[in-house]
Amino acid sequence: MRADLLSRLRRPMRALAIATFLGLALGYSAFYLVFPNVSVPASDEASLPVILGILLLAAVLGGLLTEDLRSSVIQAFLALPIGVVIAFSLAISPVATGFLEVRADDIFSFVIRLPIPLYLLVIPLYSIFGVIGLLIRERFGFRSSDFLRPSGDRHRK
Amino acid sequence: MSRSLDIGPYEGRSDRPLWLVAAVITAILAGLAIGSANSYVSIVVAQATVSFDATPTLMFQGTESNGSLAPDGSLTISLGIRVDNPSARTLHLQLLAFSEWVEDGPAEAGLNESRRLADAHVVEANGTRYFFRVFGESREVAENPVPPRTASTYTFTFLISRATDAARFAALRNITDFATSTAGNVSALTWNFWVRLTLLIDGVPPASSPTAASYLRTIGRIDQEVGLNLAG
Repeated sequence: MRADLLSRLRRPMRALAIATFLGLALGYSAFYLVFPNVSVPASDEASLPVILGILLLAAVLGGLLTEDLRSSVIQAFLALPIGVVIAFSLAISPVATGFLEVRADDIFSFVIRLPIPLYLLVIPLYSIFGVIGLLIRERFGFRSSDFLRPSGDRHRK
Repeated sequence: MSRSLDIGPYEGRSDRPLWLVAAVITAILAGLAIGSANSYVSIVVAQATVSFDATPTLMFQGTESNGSLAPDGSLTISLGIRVDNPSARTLHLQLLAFSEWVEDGPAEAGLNESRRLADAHVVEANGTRYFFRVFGESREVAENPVPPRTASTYTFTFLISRATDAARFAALRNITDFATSTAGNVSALTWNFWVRLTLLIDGVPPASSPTAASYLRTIGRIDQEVGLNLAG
């Protein structure tokens, strides 16, 4: 019963893990885009090559870890709200100290409005480069690690 | 459609190394994100908690026997500034603006109409008081930075004499003469100062993008002032 449940949850959990990874890349990129001078690394202006590099690397790696196209597309869409939540969390982090001087709704506006081009770009980018990663995975014949397989299938060859 | 791209998940080499790579990149991204949040928090805390205090000390040199300023005398103001930095960021002093006014007795008594018109006015319940601006300076400063979680003190000196500003010095002499003739000494004079200090937070380049939020263009700078600005 438990093994069956785990087997059913394996694929969505795997997709969620990869979507979270993609969302982290998006969330950090969005924060860096909006707040470049307070980010690590700090710069006077956000570097587009750095942002694209992070997103492309995450997309290809996400594709390499994905088992099928449907999961790849779902992950790309799921990464968007996760990324927004991460970017918003970073932007309101000074609330923890009680010293946030900018209104929270202004920050919400920065996090949603200013990175809109990034959000519009990220779903096709994650989808296309996710498929490229998936094709590379197929080309090199990667299989899921034991710890990600349903227990009943671990001895299949 | 997805069927065509379904790979045989249980054949071929293990994807464990890919997960390890993903874990490493996740750790790097998480480190960058947490570092960014820490940096942002420390900047906001610096903006909210840094304060400074200023203490001007007046020293008259070259006075007559009655205490009024001699023609070859001078007034030196030693401005002590203490910057209290409880934040985790290093601060750099960038700009210091300092103004010092003295209550203009001759103008108030109607003995100097031109100064009366030019002086700063302070309207109070029992009449208007007039203040003559002795110093009004703004200068870039390059002192030692204020380290995190410490308080640092700095001293700046301002001098006025006939050589530095003959017109203002003449007005100051007139005011000290009036004070000694009416109150007996210059210590009876009422002074007012105003100091504005601009500090730069270390490691925060000013945002240059036109789409950057306006507060991001100033978030790396702390502007504070003490005293009453009679010119404002």
